[in-house]
Amino acid sequence: MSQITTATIAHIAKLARINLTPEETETYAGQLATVMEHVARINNVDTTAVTPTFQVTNNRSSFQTAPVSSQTLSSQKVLKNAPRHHDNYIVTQPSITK
Amino acid sequence: MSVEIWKLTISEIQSLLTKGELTPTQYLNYYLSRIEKFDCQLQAFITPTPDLARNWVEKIETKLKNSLPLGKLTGLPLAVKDIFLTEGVQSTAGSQILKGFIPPYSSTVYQRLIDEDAILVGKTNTDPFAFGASTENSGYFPTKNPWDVTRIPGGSSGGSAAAIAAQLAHVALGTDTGGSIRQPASMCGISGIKPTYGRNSRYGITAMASSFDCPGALARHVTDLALVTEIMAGNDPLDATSSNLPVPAYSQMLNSTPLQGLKIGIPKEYFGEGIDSEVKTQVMAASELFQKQGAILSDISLPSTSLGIDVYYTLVPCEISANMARYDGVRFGQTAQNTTNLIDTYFQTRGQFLEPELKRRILIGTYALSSGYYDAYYIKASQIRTLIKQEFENAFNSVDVILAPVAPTTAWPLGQKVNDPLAMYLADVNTVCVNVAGLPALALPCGFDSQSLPIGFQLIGNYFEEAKLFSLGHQFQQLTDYHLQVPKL
Repeated sequence: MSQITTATIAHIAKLARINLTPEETETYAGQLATVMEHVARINNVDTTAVTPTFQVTNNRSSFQTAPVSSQTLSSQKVLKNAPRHHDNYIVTQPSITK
Repeated sequence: MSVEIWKLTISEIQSLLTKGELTPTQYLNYYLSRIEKFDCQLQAFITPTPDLARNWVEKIETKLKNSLPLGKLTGLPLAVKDIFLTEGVQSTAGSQILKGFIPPYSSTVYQRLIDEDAILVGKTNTDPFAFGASTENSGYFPTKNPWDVTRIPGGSSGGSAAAIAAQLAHVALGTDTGGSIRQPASMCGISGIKPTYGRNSRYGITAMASSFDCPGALARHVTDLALVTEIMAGNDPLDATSSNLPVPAYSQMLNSTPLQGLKIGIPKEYFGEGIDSEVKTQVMAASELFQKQGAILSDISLPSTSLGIDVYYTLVPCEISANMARYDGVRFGQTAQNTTNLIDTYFQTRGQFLEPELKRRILIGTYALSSGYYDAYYIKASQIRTLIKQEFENAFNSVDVILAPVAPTTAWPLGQKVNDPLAMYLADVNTVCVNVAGLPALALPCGFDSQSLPIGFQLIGNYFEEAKLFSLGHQFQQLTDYHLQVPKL
């Protein structure tokens, strides 16, 4: 496993879309290094031919049998919690700028 | 009335209400007056809802006067962890990012309880989005343990557990992703059920780790947990992972599992290094009580137990990093001001309003899922998840139920582990494997340590064997009075 440095934290914070202060970056670098060092113990276990478990329900291909459209929310209710909205739309900052 | 309301079970209360010996208003006021008196000290609630509750109880009184049909939980004062959406009532999930969020719909399990005439008395404090084991990560304030207000109540459902222990509600809702019902129940001296994954719908509850999250209830009496679970559980078309299996009438099956000849597995790994000796003594005393009634104690081994923490703190942050992407300041919740473009809004909103533990777990998950590390962490941990599940399945070939301590220690002082995330994570060692495997477990009080802090044990069952756990828990409470001990406030 590679070392977790402040540069690693800055990179994954960018992937996760979180602004971090330099102090936070420093703190998380230390804390993540400690946590990841502990969980890396999993690599000492022989898991040859062990199938991974992603869910524990044993359900297979669970499909809706009846439409649930009657239970959808009105756009008015949906928009009520949006920080900014106009008519039937949520307003955001521009995603493309010159 | 002279009867101590908090000592009664829901069915005893319902009987008094039917006979007119107690009114729903008296029932509610008992709890509301205690919230008013003690919550300033404990801070179990983020949003108490006394006005709403008084409004609802009037409607129930009207129904009673007009002899209209009443629900099975008439007037039940219910506290709800703030990660459950409650239509029209602020639901913050314990995080600043959802401050002011008024949900337009309710979670299925909460709706099922209020459909039976339960009354919401407030939304309880939690670690943000249930990330934590002490309720200290809450974006609002830490909740105090009613047994010692200088200590944590456990977490993440710490507000719900403190509310039951201090008699601020009759039943509370919580969620258990890695022990978040059982551990605070244990530390507050009450009972709590983490059902089988999929037994209760997750719809309308903010997601933490979708393949682990498990809603459940906390209460004083196991009989109350049985009744409430019977109502909450069952398939929900709005949650594709909710089970189609029929829900047994748990409350009618409380004596269905005989103790004579019952095989109880005692897993040595749950009593090993790091487990406080007083905790061990009291939990063993609980197992010996079952033995005196004819149960057979059998030593078993679950060798991968210590890896549970590593599997859990790999997989859960991975799921968290995906689930938390929705909190972007665009559709709901708080948003950063004076941003320059959309992506800047995401960065600044999440930087400003996510609490430190949220950032930490998102970062761990993003790291473990990032290019080059996915196989070493996510896939590897998912393979060990299989081994942990298989060890439990093998154990249930030879025993009927497993008995173990819930937490290695009793409640620790506020602030003790707050700056040491790994120490906080390691406190979950005895609870996480149940979630990794998706099994049901019931936490029950079984004594106190030398500082008069509650100690709890858990009964772990095979898949969908909640009826057995309720029956054993009920019989234990018939033989003991730990569940009737209350803190002096």
